[in-house]
Amino acid sequence: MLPAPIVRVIPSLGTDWNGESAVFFQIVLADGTPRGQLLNLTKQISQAIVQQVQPLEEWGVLPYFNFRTQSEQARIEEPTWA
Amino acid sequence: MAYADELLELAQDIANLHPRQPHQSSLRRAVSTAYYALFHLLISEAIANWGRPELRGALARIFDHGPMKQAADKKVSELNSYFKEKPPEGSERTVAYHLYNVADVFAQAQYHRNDADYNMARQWELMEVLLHIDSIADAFRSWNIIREEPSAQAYLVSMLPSKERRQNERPSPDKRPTLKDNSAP
Repeated sequence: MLPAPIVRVIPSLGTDWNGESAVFFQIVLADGTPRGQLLNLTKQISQAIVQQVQPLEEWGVLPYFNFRTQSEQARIEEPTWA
Repeated sequence: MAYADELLELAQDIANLHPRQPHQSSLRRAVSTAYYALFHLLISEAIANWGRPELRGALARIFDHGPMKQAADKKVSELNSYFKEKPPEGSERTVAYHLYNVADVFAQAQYHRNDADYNMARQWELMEVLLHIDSIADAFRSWNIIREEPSAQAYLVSMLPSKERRQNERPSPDKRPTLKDNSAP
């Protein structure tokens, strides 16, 4: 179970723009998290992941993080009918 | 107002151009502009050390995205090792915390800037863009706290391209599993 307000953590492997092996963490936060708390929260989450998973030191991949709210993530996952 | 500060303010303005229905073009430009704000902040701080102001522009052109990213990755890795040792509270740890924030935000921002400028498959949302800009504004604050510290000044020098830094400086993982490794799943 993820601590509130983290709704989902979606990791994926790939390469970054310099061709380096990388892990991308898409982190989804609950809607309604106060705007003033978001920056500190995202720093705490990314630092906790880096310290516990140690992506570079243990796995040789550079970690990248992106944060979205639940409703933003839902909009992006909606199928588009062009 | 300094150019880097203007860029940061511009990034915020662009992101909020269409708050009800943000345009992808403005969100992308905001992410890119925010990255350039930090890029130019660090370069301007580095060249300010050069005694001859008329040559600072030429010196600035030596800095490049790739070596600056390598310097940021290396600093983040070094400071991760430092924090792993649980250093005692004090000014050294405070400086390390802010330097980590600057280097880490730079590395993250450069990745997202490339995505914003070149990855047309990625869809951007307003809040995630505002968070990117907030993190860069926070890196500005961190830099202003430590800018006179020896480790911060050394970091600026480490951003310069050099033959050594062009080679791969990333640490190799301690225990990377292989197919021949009996402990591999």
